[in-house]
Amino acid sequence: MWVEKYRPKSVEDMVGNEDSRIGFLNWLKEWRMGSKPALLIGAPGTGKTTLVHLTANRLGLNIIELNASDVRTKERMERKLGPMLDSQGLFNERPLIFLDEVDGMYDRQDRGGVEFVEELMERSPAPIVMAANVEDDKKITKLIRKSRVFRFRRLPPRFMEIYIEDIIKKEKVRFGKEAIRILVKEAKGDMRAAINSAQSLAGLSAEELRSVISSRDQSYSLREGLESFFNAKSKEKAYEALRSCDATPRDKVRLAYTSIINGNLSNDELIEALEGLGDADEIIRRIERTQEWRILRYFDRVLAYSLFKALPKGRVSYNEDDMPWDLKLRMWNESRALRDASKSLSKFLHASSREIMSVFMSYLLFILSKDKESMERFVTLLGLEGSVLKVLMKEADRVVSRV
Amino acid sequence: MWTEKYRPLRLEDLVNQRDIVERLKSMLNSPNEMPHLLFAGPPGTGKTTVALCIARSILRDYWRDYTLELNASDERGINTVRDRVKTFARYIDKRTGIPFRIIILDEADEMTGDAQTALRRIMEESSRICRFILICNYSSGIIEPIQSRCAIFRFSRLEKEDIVNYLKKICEHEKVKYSDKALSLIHELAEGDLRLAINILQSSSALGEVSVENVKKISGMSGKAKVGEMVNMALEGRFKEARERLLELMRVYGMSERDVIKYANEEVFKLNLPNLDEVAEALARYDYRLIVGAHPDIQLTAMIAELGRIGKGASTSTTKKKESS
Ligand SMILES: Nc1ncnc2c1ncn2[C@@H]1O[C@H](COP(=O)(O)OP(=O)(O)OP(=O)(O)O)[C@@H](O)[C@H]1O
Ligand SMILES: Nc1ncnc2c1ncn2[C@@H]1O[C@H](COP(=O)(O)OP(=O)(O)OP(=O)(O)O)[C@@H](O)[C@H]1O
Ligand SMILES: [Mg+2]
Ligand SMILES: [Mg+2]
Repeated sequence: MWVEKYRPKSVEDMVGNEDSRIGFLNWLKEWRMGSKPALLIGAPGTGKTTLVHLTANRLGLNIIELNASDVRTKERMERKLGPMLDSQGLFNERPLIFLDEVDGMYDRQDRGGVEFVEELMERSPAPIVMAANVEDDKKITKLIRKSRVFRFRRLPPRFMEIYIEDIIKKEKVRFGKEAIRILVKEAKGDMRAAINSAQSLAGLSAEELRSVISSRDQSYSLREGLESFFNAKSKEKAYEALRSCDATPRDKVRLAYTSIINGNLSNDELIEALEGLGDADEIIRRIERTQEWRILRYFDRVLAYSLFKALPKGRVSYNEDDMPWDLKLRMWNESRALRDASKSLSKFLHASSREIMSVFMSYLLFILSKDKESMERFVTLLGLEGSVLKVLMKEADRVVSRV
Repeated sequence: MWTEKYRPLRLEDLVNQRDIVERLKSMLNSPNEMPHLLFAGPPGTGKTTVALCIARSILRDYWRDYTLELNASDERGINTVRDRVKTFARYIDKRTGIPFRIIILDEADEMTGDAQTALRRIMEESSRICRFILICNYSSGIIEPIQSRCAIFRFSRLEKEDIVNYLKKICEHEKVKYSDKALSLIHELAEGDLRLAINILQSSSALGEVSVENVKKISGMSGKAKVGEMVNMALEGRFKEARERLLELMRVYGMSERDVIKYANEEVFKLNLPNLDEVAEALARYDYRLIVGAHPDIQLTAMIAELGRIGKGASTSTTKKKESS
C-alpha cells in the first residue's frame, strides 16, 4: 500500500501547510500543564495524523490514540486514559493524548464522549491533540473556542506533483508528467487520494487516464455538484446534480445558502430561494430529531425543485463566505472583548451579561464616551485588559456616531 | 451608573409594588421561617432590587459574603449551577448568627426543564442552609414543582406617574435640566421599565439636557432597537442591509438567535403595521424552527426574506386600496 509505504518519515518530508507544521511543533515543545489543547482542522489526506505522529516521535512522546474506530463513550475513554491520568509517570514515559477524527464522535453511540473530552481538557497532565475534517459542526465549534487551532489547507498541485513523481521514480513504473498532472488535479489537494490513484492507475497514458476518470466521476464533489446544480437547464438535471453530489444534506443546504447569499439575484428571487432553503433546513432537523431517515429520499428533490424555480441560471455560483469581510474582521477583533466586558459588568449591574450586551452596553458606553479618563477608570475597575479598552473606545465612537 | 446609584437599598424606598413590600415585610419579622421566593414580572420593575434588599435586611453586614447571585443564562448548564450552589451551600457559620445563606437565581425561566428538575432536588437538599430567590419574567416558564415550593410574588409594570416622578427626583439630585415632555417620552419608550428609563435619562443628560430632542436621539441606541431597525429594513425590502445587521448583532455582539426573535416580536408591535398578524405568524414559525434546532443563520435569513415579501404585499395592497377608493 503506497500510502503507508510513502507516509513521510520526518516532518521535513511533508509538503504544504508549513506554517501549521512549525506552529504545531512549537506548541508541543512549549506545552505546559494547563496549556490549551491543539486542534488540527483540515481536508482529508493533508497530513494531520501523520504530523502528530512524526512530531511526537521527534520529541520522544508516547502517543495514546483514540480515533473514530474506537467507541468513545465516557466510560470507554475513562478506562483507556484513566490509568495514565491517575498515576502519571508510572511508565516513566511522557504521553500525548491524540483524539483523532473528533468530528466522528456521535451523540448517540459515544454518549458523554464530547463532555469527557471537554473535562479532560481542564485537568489533563499530558498534551491533548485533536484532529477533525470539518469545522462547522456544533461539537467542533465548541472545541475550537477552547483550543489552539492549526489549519490544514488542501495541498497545492505543484507540491503534490513533485511528491508523486518521486514515488513513481522509486517504484520504477512508467507514468507520464501529463498523466500525473491530471491525477493530481483530480485529487483536489488530498495527497492520500493522489497516491492511491497513482498506485491503481500507474502505467496508463494521459489519454487513458482521462477516460477512466471521466467514467468514474459519477459522484460529484460538493463544489462541482452545486456548480452544475446552479447551471442546470432543467429541473430534472438540477435534481440529478444535487442527488449525485457526495455530501451530507446539511452541507448541501449550508453551501447552497452561502452561494445564494453571494449570488447576483434580485430581491424577489432571493426571497423565494431563501424560503425554500429554510424549509429544506427544517426537513433535515426534523429527520435528525425523529430519526426517520426514510424521509431523506425526498430531500434532494424538494430542495432542487424549490430552488430551481427561484434561481435564474448562471447568476449563482459556488461560494463559501457566510458573512461580509468587514464584519468578519469585527467579529475576530471585537466580539471577545465585548463579551468579557459585559461579563464583568454583570456583577456590578445585577443583570445577566446577555441583557447587558443587548440592552445596556450602548447607553453605558455613550455615557462614558464623554470623557476618556472615566472610560479608563471603568476598564481598570472591571479588571479588564488594555486591549479591551481599545475595543470599547471604538464601540463608543460607533454608538456616538449613531446619535 | 445612575441605575446603581439610585437603586433603593431598603424595601421602604421602593417605588410602588406596595402589596409586595407589605407582604414581604411581615414575612421578614420572622426571617427564619421565610420560604423560597419566586418573583415574576416585567423587566426593570424592581425584582432584583427587592431580592437584594431582602438579603441586606436578613444578612446585614454579611450580605455580600453570604449571597450568591447567578444568572441562568450566564451559567449555562445545570452542572455549573449545581457545583456553585453546592460549594456555596455547604455549611452555615453559626458565629455570624445569620439564619441562612441566600441564592438569587435570576432569569430562572430561561433554564431548561431538565435543569429546573435538577434544581428542585438541590432546593430540597440545601434548604436547611440556604434560601432561593428565583426571578423570572413569566412564571409560566417555571415548572410546577418549583412554583409549588416557592412563595410567589407578581410584580406589576410601573405607572407613568411613578416613573416620571422618580426620574424627576434623579434630575433634581443630579442638577440636570429637563422638560416634562421629555420625561413622558422616556416613559413611553421604556414601557414601564424603570431601569431602561434611567438609562435613557442618563444618556440624554450626557448630551447636555433632558429634552425631547435629545431623548429621541438616544432612543435608537440599544441592541433591542437595532433589532427593530432590522425588522424595518426587512419589511422595506432592504434585504442586504437587514442581513448585515443581523450578522452584526449575532456575531459581533453575541446576541442569541432566540433573543433576536424575542426582540423582533416586541418591536413589531410598536410598528403599527397593517398586517401585523402575518408578521407575527411568520416570527412564530421561525421561532419554532429554532427551538427544534434548525440552522440559525439560514432560518433568520429566510425570516428576513419572508418579512420582505410580507412588507411588499402590504405596500401593494395599501396602494391598491387607495386606487379603488
Ligand atoms: N502533507 C503531506 N505530505 C506528504 N504526504 C502526505 C501529506 N499529507 C498526507 N500525505 C499522505 O497521505 C497519507 C494520509 O495522511 P494523513 O493520515 O496524515 O492525513 P490526515 O490529514 O490525517 O487525513 P484524515 O483527515 O483523513 O484523517 C499519508 O500516509 C501520506 O502518504
Ligand atoms: N420599583 C422600583 N423602585 C425603585 N427603583 C426601581 C424599581 N424598579 C426598578 N428600579 C430601578 O431600576 C433598576 C433595575 O431594577 P431591577 O434590577 O430591580 O429590575 P428587575 O425587575 O430585576 O429587572 P430585570 O427583569 O430586567 O432583571 C434599579 O437599579 C433601580 O434603579
Ligand atoms: Mg487522520
Ligand atoms: Mg433583575
